[in-house]
Amino acid sequence: MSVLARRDRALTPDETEALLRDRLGDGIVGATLAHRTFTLHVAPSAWVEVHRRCRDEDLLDMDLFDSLFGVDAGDDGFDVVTVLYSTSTGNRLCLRTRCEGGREAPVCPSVTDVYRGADWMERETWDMYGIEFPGHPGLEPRILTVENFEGWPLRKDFHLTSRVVKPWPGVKEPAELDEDGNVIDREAGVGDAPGPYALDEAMAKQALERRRAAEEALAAAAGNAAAVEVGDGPAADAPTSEPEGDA
Amino acid sequence: MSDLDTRERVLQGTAPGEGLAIELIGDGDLVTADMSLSIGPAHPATHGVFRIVFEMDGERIVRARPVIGYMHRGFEKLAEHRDYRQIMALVNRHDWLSGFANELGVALAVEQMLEMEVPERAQWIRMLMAEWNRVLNHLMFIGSYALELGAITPMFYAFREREDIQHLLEAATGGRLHFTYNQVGGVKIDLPAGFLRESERLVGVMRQRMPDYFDLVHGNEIFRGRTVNVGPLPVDVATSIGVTGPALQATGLAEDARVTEPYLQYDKVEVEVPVGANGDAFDRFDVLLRRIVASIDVIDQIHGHIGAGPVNQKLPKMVKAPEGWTYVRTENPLGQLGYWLESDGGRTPWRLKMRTPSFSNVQAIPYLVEGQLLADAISILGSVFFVVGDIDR
Amino acid sequence: MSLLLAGAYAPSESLLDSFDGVLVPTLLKIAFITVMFLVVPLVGGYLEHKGMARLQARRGPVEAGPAGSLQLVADGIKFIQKEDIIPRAADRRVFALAPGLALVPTLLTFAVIPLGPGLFALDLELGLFYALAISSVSVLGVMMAGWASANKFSLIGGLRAAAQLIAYELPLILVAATVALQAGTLSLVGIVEAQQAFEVPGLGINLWYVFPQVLGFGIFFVAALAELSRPPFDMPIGDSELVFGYMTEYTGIKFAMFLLTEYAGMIVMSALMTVLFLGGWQPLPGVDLPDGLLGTFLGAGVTLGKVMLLVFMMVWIRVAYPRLREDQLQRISWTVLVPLSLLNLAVVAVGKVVVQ
Repeated sequence: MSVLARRDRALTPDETEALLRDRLGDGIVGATLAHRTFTLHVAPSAWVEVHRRCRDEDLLDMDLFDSLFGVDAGDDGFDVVTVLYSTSTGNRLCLRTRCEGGREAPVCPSVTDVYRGADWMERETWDMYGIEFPGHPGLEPRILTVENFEGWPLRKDFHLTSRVVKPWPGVKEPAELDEDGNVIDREAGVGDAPGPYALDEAMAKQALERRRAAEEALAAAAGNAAAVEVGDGPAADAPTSEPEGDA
Repeated sequence: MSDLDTRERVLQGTAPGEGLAIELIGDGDLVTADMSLSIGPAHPATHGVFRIVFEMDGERIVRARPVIGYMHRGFEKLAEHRDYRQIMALVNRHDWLSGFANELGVALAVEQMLEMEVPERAQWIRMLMAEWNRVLNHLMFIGSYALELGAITPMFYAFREREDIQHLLEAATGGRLHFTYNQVGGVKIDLPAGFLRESERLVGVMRQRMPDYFDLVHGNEIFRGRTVNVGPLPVDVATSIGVTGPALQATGLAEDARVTEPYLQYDKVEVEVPVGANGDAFDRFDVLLRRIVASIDVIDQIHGHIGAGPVNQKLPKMVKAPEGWTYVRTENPLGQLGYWLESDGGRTPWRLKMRTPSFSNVQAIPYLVEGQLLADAISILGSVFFVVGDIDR
Repeated sequence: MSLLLAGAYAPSESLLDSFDGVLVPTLLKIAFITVMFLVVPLVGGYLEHKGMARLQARRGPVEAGPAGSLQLVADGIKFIQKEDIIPRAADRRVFALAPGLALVPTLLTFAVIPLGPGLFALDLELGLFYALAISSVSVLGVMMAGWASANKFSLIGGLRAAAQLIAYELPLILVAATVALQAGTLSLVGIVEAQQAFEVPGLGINLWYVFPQVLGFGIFFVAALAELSRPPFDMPIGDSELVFGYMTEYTGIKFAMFLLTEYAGMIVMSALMTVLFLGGWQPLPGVDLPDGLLGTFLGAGVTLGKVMLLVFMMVWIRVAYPRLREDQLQRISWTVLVPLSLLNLAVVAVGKVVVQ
């Protein structure tokens, strides 16, 4: 198996489109060639089949699975894009589909049966956009965000906010306080730090007070800022809000 | 209650999901059960916060489940809120060992959208920097892989070389890891005086020292014993997963974007693409070494091509990519780095997808380690060559 | 001259016994062992620091003391100050006992090691047997540490250490037995003296046992490395796999005790190799030390010099090689070292009978 062995027999974008239209008929919705990137728009019903064809069709021979990801399509819902590459012809093909289900319940068939590499890519897309992939061996647990993360971070309606608003989940201090400021008595596990000690409690109490103050300040500022973005500074800092323009 | 009872009571369900692997059954018969061993997120072999959970039968791995995302910093979301100038400083952080190559992809993507012609000198400078960056990256992995196999010395020698190259790049960019030297339309400033002379000297130094590293691989029986036929990766599995870079070339496929899809001026230089035979850990490491030699050769050729001229061009106050999308791939040190840049015509990208080599390469790890010994798993983990920031972004 | 020392072995008199009474010699012996135990490993450790640094193109410790020579002392002080952490799930008694159990046997072994003529604490008739038997108790401490830490990395490390000990004790003892066979005694002092008296049959040239038994020396060296868990056989603590193996959960002084065990073990094994193969305190084959106190101290210097040379060899190997895999180590032991050491035993036994 050598690289670019069939470079001279590589199909042009038009031929590729014609070939796949011949095989899949209405499955191919359209094609764009712009900025040196050739993209085929595919109907969701033909999504898995077009990948199978791209891989198995001898003229295409798209053997390298490059990537799969989601794109927010605004009011129309979400798009899923895959990038395929052929190591023998040197051709690259982008496939794009509009998920069914709109913004509420986007669904896209899984291509994990065709390309192994789609496994994590689809998990990531689910994690970032909430797009379900029927046929995927298991989208959970969330692959990049923390397991109990709420929301779909790459959707445009998910605003970039600091962790002042959404406290970091999980244990972060040796002593944890509940809403009333009392130390939570946890069953200690293997590997847990010893304690909590008096110092931990004092620090946790201070942190709680700081957080409450920050939340109040933020609630006051929330009225005039649509999206609030805070840098990596500690939560104790007063949140600096930076209204986002055309984002 | 005996001590043993206490131990079992304490351990059950308190450690993340497991207890000690020995349970007493009936009349004191000792029966072993599968033990799950969690490597990481903070473990010496994962160089970063990467976690892999092994289900083990004795020292043999039955099942492996990588857990990633500990270092997810939401780069793709952040990039949607930054303009193209700011993105340049953002993207060189995900793979901190190849900062320059990361910036390069974004710059190329924006230029492709704008259909902008970059001055030739700037292109050669970019190539020179990208190749030195590749050498830097590979030297780091030579050191760290040997360290994973228990050899402490190569790290020190690799760092001796790295320091020399770091000083060179620092002279031009002012940075050691995060260069931020690219900008849309060229590079930030011209090279300082004497840079090319020093670069040529370093080429000589590297050529003189590379045989030592080859001796380390080819002449060390224990090194061979630990890597030959460990974790072979068939080429069809590799491409189906999307493995690229040294790990793909080790399978025998000479896939390298610099040759197959030349960008910048790579079509004017001779790039040798080393390949391995069966894609085992030895091949992967061997390819990595030979890629350094290939890069040094490319650098030597660049010295002959680099001419006078401007290195950047005047840009509008706010660069705005036109509506549409483009996909640009470059050969990052660890494999193929792809940027999908989709713009709605505004000052920030609508979507910037980073297709990072580490993310795809790490997907191959469960395939490689299942059925292997724990010690081999460490050897495989190191030979796939990943940077955790590059996985999690 | 007969190769076999005739008759039952009469233990040599230690110089320390030449003082009157019971208390003074006993205290002197205790002081001798303690000093050996605490000082010589520090020197070995310093050699490792500096030797490794030079081999790795760096300088090593330079700040603490002249040329960094007090670095290990500074480390020791630091270890004492550290908090002593015992994991909640650990078996507290076993966890606390383990470092001591690993350390004490090494300490006890120093009792029979002769530094120079008359410069030793004890000359046991079964000295070699005693040294090997006692030093292998150390691994019990290691296993206890691995088990009691309630940590899977520790557990695997402890089990690996045990497997390694079983595999490498056999070639070690077979080779030691071969030396004892050639010397005709198990006393370490006796073995040194037998080497001084050993001559190549027919030529009359005095030789150390390393020359007729170079194979045995090699096997002993490799087995000693494995027994000490030194690289390339450091799988029990292999830091890229098992974090730090059985030592993972230890902190402060207990951790320092494990480290001291390792360095003292290096000294003990090197001293055993010096005694068994390198002629002990004899400066060169055929060259005898001057009589009297001068000879005794010169002999101590010669022994320690040889010990440090062997320690340096161990450091050199650590710098040069990566780590083996556990199954490769077992395979080397059972398929290469054990048959070779049996061959060594057979050749020496036959040779001895033929010469007689």
